[in-house]
Amino acid sequence: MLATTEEANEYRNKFHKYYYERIAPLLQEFEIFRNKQMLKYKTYQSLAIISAIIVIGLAAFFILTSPQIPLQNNLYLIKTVIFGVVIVCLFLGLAGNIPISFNQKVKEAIINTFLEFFGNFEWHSGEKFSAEELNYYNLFDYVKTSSSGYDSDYFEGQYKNLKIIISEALLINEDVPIFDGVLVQIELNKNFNAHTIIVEKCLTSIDSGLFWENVGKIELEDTEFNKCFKVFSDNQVEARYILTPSMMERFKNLKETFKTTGIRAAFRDKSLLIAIPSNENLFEVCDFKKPVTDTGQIRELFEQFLAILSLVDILHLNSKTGL
Amino acid sequence: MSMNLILLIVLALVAAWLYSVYVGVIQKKNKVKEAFASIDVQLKKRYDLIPNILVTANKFMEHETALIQDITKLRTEAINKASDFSNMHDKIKLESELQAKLGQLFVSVENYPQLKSDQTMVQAMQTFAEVEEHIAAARRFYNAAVLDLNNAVEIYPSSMFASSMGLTTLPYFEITDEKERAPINASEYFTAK
Repeated sequence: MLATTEEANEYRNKFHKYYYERIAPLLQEFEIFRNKQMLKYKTYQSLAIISAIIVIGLAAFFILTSPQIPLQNNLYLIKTVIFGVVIVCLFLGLAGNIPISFNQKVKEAIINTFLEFFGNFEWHSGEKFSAEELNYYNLFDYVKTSSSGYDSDYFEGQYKNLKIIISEALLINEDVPIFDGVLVQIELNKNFNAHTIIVEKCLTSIDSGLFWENVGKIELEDTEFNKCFKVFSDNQVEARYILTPSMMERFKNLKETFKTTGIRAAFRDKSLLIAIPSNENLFEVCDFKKPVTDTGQIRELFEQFLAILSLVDILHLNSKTGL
Repeated sequence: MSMNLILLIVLALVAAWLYSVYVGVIQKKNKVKEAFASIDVQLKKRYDLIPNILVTANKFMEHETALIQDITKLRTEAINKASDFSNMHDKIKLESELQAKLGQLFVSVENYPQLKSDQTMVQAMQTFAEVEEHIAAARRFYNAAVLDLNNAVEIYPSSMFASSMGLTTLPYFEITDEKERAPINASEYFTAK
């Protein structure tokens, strides 16, 4: 159980031991590779800087030696600048690609070992939720595309006998991002006849105002909960069946745990979809600019996973009396 | 001329406001009806489930015949009691008694290991727990709707319209048995007799 600090600390201690037994040996092999890649990276960066200096120098030379020719007619100048920009961009592109491909290689090598600690989770690259699926939950204003051109990951597995999908997501509508963060879908042990949406109050003024009003606003008894969240549902009884006094308390705890604003959740059919905003690039196993054996990044990845799995414990989703 | 126009506008605004208050009272009254109906739907599920439970319990619980007969009688009374506001107090009292008796029955099931492990009984009890949770949710909806209506009936100016429509305050669906309200003394349960 990860709902209390003591339980979470115990989990952390177990992971600490697991890291040194299983993950650290794998990472050590990559440190030599990282050093070689870092040399290549710095070489390309240096070549880009040198190229830029040469181009600027040549451009200055052509301008100063032919002051009578207007700049737009100075063919040597124009050709030099175009060639120079292409070369500089090429070197910068080559340099920029190195950290991305390195991080991806390391992730592919160790992520499954990392996930073994949590049970039977699998890692996949790419997006999990389609725009149609997200629009079905009606948790966002109309989603046109999901994670377009976005370096995202998702994880599928079981925790406490509940099927869970955790996915990074960047949702876009009319070329405007409407959500950037993590989507967590949990398959529950009950079927819901209604569609119930819970959103933080700060969101209802930002998103198109009437969007959720069509579903029907529900006023609940917990005044503290009502200060933080708004509830919409097409069935008054079902909404109260889900949002018991203890469940409302747990949602308040959720907000405290993630320390973010804009949390939203939807219950529909047999599942719960929770959207947690985040500006960071999540689920990364290493930082190219730091030694691979630096535990900081892995620790951060662990904490991200811990926070998400603790959703099940905080909301008591696996217990029959929880819902 | 302009004074007359201003007066007309003010009167129109006051009329619109009074109309909105009147509409509000009607909406609150209808919401209570909707909530009451939703409780009925859930209660019907409970009534439909009770015979299955009693038939299974009867096979094993030889010493609880009186309790089973009480539950049967209460269920019949509850089904026959018409669902409207005029006998709301009686209906609430009847439902509280039925719930209390069923609670006693499920506690007694613990004394019959064969019955406790009977698959039909286990499933019936799980379904019953679900139904009770839905009844609790329906009650909360009803109480919220009644609170809104009672406020409208008691607070001016909506109270004007409420009294002209013959509306009065309604009772909440709450525990009526004072014994259930009293704090539980655990030592009474654990003291050896």
